[in-house]
Amino acid sequence: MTIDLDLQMARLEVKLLRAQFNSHFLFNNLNAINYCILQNENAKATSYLTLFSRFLRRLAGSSRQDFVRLSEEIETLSQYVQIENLRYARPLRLVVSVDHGIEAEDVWLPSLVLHSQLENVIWQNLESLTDEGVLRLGVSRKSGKYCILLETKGVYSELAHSRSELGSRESALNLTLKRLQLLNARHGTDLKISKSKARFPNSNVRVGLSFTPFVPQNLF
Amino acid sequence: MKAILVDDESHCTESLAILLRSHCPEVEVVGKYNRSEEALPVLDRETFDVLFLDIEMPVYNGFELLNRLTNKSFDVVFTTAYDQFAVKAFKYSAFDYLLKPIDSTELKECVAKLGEKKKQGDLDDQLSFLRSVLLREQQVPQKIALPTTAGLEYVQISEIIRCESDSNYTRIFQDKSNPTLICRTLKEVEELLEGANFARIHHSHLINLDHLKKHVRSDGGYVVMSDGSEIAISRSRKGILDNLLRVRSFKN
Repeated sequence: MTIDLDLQMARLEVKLLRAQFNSHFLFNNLNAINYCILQNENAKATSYLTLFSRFLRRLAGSSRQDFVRLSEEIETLSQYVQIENLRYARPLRLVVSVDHGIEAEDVWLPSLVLHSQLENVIWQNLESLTDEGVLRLGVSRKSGKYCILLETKGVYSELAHSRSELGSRESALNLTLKRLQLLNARHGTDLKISKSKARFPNSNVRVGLSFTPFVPQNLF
Repeated sequence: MKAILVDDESHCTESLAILLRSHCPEVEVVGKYNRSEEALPVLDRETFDVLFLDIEMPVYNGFELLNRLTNKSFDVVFTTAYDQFAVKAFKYSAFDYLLKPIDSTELKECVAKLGEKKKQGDLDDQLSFLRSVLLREQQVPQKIALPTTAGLEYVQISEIIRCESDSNYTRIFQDKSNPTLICRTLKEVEELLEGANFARIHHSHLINLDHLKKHVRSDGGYVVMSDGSEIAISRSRKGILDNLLRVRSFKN
C-alpha cells in the first residue's frame, strides 16, 4: 500500500514539477528580460534576471518538500507577483492579511498549492483586473480549521482559456486536487480546496484552502 | 513585406518589432496588437503578407482568432513559449514557428523562407490539422502535412513505404503508383518521422520498417519493400538496420 502511494506520489511530483516550471511562464519571462536587454535597460534587465533566478531556485526548493511554512509560501507568492509586474505593463498588488493570533511561521501547508492557484487566478482575470489589480490573501481560523483564501476583484471570465487546452498537461486544479488527495492519504491530513463566501467587499472568491492545523512528521 | 504582430504580452510584440527592424529591414511592421479582439477587424480589413501570432492568449487564442477571419491570404508564423511537444505539432502540420525568446538568426531564416514564394495552402485545413495533433496529445500522429509544389498534402504515415532524397527535395513512395515530391530534405523528413518505425539505411533512403518484406545480407546488403522495390543498404549504415531489427524482434 505504501509503495503504491509512493509511486503515485512520485509520478504526480514529476507532473507537478513540469507544471511549475511550465514553458509558458519560463519562456515568456525570459522574453521579457530579453526585451529589457534589447532596449538597453540594463539595470532593469539585471534585477529582473536575478529576481527570476531567485524565484526559480525557490520553486526548485519548495517542490522538493511536501510542506512548507506559510511564511515561506507568502514570500514565494510575493516574488511571483513582483515578477508578473515586470512581465506585464500592469502592476499587481498582493495584500496579505493574517488574522490576529495566527503566526505565519507556525502554519504548515502543502508547498506551491497557493502559487499554482494564484497563477490560475491571474491568468483567468488579467483581462478584467482593474487598474488597482489587487489580489488578497486572507488567513483565518474557523471552527478549529485554518482557512486560506485567495480573492480578487476581477470578474470571473468564462472566455478565459485554461492552459490545459494545448499540450499534454492536466489543469492546475486537477493536479492540485490529486496531490491533496495523496498527501492526505500519506500524512493523515484533511487538506481541502473549497469555495466559500468572500470576506472582502466587492470581491469574488477564487480559491480557498482549508485544513485542520498540523505539524508534518516528515517533510517528504 | 508587410507584417502584423499579435501577442497578448506587449514585451513580445515590442521585442519582435525591434528584432525585425534590426535584422529584417525588408519587413515593414504595419500593426502590433496585444488584444486579439482589437486585431480581428484589422486583420480582415488590411492587406499584408505575414502574421506573427501567439497561440495562447486570453479571450481569443491564436486558433480562434484565425478561425474568425474571413481574409486568410497571408502567411502565419506562430511565436510560441511552448515546449517540445507543441513545437513538434507545428512541424507535423507544416507551420512556421519561432520559439520565444526569439533568436535573430532564426528570425532571419524564417523571413527568408517566407520570401520564397510558395503555393497558398488552405489555412483552415492546416489549422484544424494542427489543432487535432495538439489535442490528441499523441507522440506521433497518424497523418502529417507535407508541403509539395502544388500545396500541402496530408499523408498517412502508415502508408509511406519509403522516402528517397532528390537534392533538397524528397520523394515519398506510398501505396500508389506515383511518388510525391516533397519540398523538404530527407533529413527534415527523417526528423518529422522520428518515433514512427523508419530507418535511414542509406544517405539517400529512409524506409518504413513496417513495409519491410525482406532483408538480404549478400551482395553488399539490400532490402525488399512491400511494393517490390529493392533498396541498397550503405556499408556505414548496415549496423543501424541490424540493431533496429534486433530491437524490434525483441519487442515483439
